[in-house]
Amino acid sequence: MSTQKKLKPTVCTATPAIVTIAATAALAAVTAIGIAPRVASASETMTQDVSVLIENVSQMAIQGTGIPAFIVSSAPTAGGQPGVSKAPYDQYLQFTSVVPNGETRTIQAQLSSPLPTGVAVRLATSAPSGTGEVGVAQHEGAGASGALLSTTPVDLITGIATGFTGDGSTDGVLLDYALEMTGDVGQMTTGDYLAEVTFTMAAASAP
Amino acid sequence: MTLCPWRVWWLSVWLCLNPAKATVSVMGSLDRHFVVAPGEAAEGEVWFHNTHDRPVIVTASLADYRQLPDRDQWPAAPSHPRSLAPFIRFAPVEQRVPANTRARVAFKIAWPDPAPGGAAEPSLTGTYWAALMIQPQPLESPEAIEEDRALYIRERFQTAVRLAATLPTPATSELVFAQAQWQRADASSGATGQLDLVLTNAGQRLLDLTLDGEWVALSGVSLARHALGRVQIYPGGHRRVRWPLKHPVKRVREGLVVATPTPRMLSAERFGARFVLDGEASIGP
Repeated sequence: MSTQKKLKPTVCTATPAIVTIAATAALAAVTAIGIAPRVASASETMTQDVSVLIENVSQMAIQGTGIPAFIVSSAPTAGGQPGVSKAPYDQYLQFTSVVPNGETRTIQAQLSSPLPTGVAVRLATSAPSGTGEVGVAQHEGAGASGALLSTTPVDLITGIATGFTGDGSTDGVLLDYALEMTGDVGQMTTGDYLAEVTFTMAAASAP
Repeated sequence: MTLCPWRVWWLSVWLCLNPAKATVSVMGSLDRHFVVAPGEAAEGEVWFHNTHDRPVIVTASLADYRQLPDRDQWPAAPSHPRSLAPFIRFAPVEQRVPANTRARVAFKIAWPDPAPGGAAEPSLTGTYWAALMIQPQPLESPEAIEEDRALYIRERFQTAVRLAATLPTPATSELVFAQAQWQRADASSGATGQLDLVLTNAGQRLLDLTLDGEWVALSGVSLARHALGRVQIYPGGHRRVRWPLKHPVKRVREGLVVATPTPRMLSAERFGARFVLDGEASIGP
């Protein structure tokens, strides 16, 4: 557990500067390597250029079985809180990322629209695994300890550079949703609901 | 608690009806900057690749990008006075992308026609920005859900391509070290603590900076230098930067932070701050 202490007068300076942002081309991570081998031969010399193009790539998907679904139903005993059943599912967020040197990416999650009154959804993940720099989970653990989803995005995975999770059935970041009742449970009504979670991949703007 | 068998069966049927989640691979930088003079325009393209064996519908839309100290938000555009959305035109808004095919969205950033004499509108100065959201959707999407008293979660994906344009006309660049707080670290972390900094862009132009920190001992000798990474802060935006310290606090007198413009910024002028550790902060863990 960390403690916070205020620092004594922070001496800050901010130097005004006239700055112009230089234009950058769309293909930021294009690397061309030209190889021109010299052959020390008295008879014949052949030169061949080999160029390599590494594209800037952002790709993600979900692999797995089942769909996240919850049913609010009878309490274990009369007078108890309604029970929450969870459909069996096993879903992994998978991604591939190739970035320019020094850049990283973030994957966020948010709801497209608010949930029905009285319930809330949390999302936790496993730590990312894979090859290369696949980032750090910001809400690692079981669903109940995960990030509370809302229409405001939350960071799920940060610090993704060049790396990939793998595309096998259990590769990537395990997604674990949990449904919980809120203090407004008295306004909860019966019905079927579809909640849409949007995962956004974006360039990070800080280390 | 798990679902009863018939519900599991029904969910399996629903899953079969529900096509695989649509995704595309977006090519190219997710962070693009342009210098656009009054009366001029910048054009670009966002390419993406449907790597699947079935077609998808890809929609493009504009959102704003807002920087809070610890997270980014994407409110609907235009949501602030420096939104670039009113100056971006893009097409197509929606397209069907066949399997294993690449497609693109073309965009154009153009300021309003300049006033006579070539000047931009008086109110336009500095940097404006927004994000082009690329969102794939499956061709079929069964929305009907049987009466089951359930809450289902459907997942969607989108990729945000940040677009920023700066006018080369006079504007201010100003970095404010808005907050500095010492956080003592866990004993197990190996660090003594860390300095949490919140940086704010109080100017009119995007700041694209490389940060370096230096801990200085009571004797005035440099103890350690740290590359703190690169930050991009849009006007009015905030970024949190954490700077670890592994030396005993009692030996440290101050920390210096220098923010150097990246090559993206034409000016080489730097920003700096000095943080003095007082007696309270010098109490060791």
